[in-house]
Amino acid sequence: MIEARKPENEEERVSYLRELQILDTPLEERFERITRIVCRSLDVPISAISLVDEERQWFKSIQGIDASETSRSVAFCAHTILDKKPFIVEDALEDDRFSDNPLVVGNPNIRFYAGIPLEVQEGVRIGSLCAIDHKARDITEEQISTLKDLSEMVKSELASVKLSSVHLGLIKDLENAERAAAVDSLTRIWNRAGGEKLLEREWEVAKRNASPLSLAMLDIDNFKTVNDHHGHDFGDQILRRFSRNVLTAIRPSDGFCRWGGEEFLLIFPSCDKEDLKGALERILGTIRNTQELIPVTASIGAHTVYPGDQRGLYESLKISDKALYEAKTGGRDRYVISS
Amino acid sequence: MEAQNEHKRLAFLHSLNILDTPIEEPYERITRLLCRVLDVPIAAVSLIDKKRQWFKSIQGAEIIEIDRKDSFCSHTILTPHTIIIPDARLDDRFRNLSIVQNTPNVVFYAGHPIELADSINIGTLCVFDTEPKEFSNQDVQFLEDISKTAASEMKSRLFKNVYDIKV
Repeated sequence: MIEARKPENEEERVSYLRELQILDTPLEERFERITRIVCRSLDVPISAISLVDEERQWFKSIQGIDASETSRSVAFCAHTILDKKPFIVEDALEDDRFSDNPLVVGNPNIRFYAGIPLEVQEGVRIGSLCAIDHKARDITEEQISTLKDLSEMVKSELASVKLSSVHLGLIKDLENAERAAAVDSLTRIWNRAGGEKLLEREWEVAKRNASPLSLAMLDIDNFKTVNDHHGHDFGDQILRRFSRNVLTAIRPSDGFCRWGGEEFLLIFPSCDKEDLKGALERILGTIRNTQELIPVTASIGAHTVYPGDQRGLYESLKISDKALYEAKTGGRDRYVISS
Repeated sequence: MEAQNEHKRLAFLHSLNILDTPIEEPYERITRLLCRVLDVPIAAVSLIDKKRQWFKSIQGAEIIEIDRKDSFCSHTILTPHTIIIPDARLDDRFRNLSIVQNTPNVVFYAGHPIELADSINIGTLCVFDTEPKEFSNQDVQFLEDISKTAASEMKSRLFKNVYDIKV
């Protein structure tokens, strides 16, 4: 295996990447959809937005593999960032640089790789958008230009700020290490610690703007039987897919956190009771209509808190919890909004 | 038929300064991709103005605009969903549309709204075929993904000056 050298402007490159404040952040739908489009457009099982950090490549989004990072030494993308041009490996087994690479000889058995560098500023390439297959294949000029087009979309997403200022504030205030500790490693959405911080910040903003804040506790129905019948690995897969599905049904400014086990907290800023109904219907509809390994439904208990409410934020969580219990006892696959 | 927020919708559309502009590569690539992946002869980025539907990009048909009354997409922008018409000849709402009756003799339609801001649907991403067609869940997901990416493209490229206007 031949490791990629480091680019001449490595220091500048890494500091640019770090300034983007994107490493170790939770999944975002706007990037998920681009990697989905790559899989569909090029007919590949794996696609990723890989950001090449000092010693690792970290995936902002990846389809087809459950990994969030690999070491830089084995990364194909570490080669891609060395040049402006697309980096294509039609058959990794026939290429001295990769034939004994652990990602080639072992999981995920990469044979074909096509990556477009993400050049965010002249000469500064922070990572790549790539398409990967388990079998050797060639790539047409047209497919390369599709991948290039999509990499332009990644860049314009990177340049534009889509998360709410509250999310961004939280991401900025957390040091890299803390940030990783606030993201759930299985589902890659905020974990409970991250969720609590987000919630407190959203509540401060709601009070300042005198705007309603809606909260929802969401719990996957009969999840224990899933684990019992199919095992925990299968259960983990369901949790991962489930979170990605819910992500497609919420706004970028909404908060989505794994609260524990199969329970999730949703935070809807500037959302009153009427808006809340629409949001919850959309979420339950998405869960119901997405074909997964097995049919999955969920129950939701929700509550809208207004800044003047004397009961305060944590009482609202309790109210949502009680409403969730009602949704469960009422037959599941439904939401209950409690006032 | 008009959206409830028609006035605001049009204000958003006009503030983009995109109507009657030349073709641009980012939108061309979107319609090309739709044709290729969904295997349809016609795909368009369509914008619904007050009285007309204007195509920012269209593959497979030489049309620049059509009457709003004569359009599938004016229905699609009233919903948040993908609208699929498997065979327009069998649908009372659409069988008499000029693009069904005359060239390009459209039969199949699928469109997803381009949502610029909360419930502000300025147009659609849509595909047509001259034969009836099946449209799978994966096809719907793809159309939806691309339309959201197109909306994002419009915001980032053209929307800078008004992006801070409170919806």
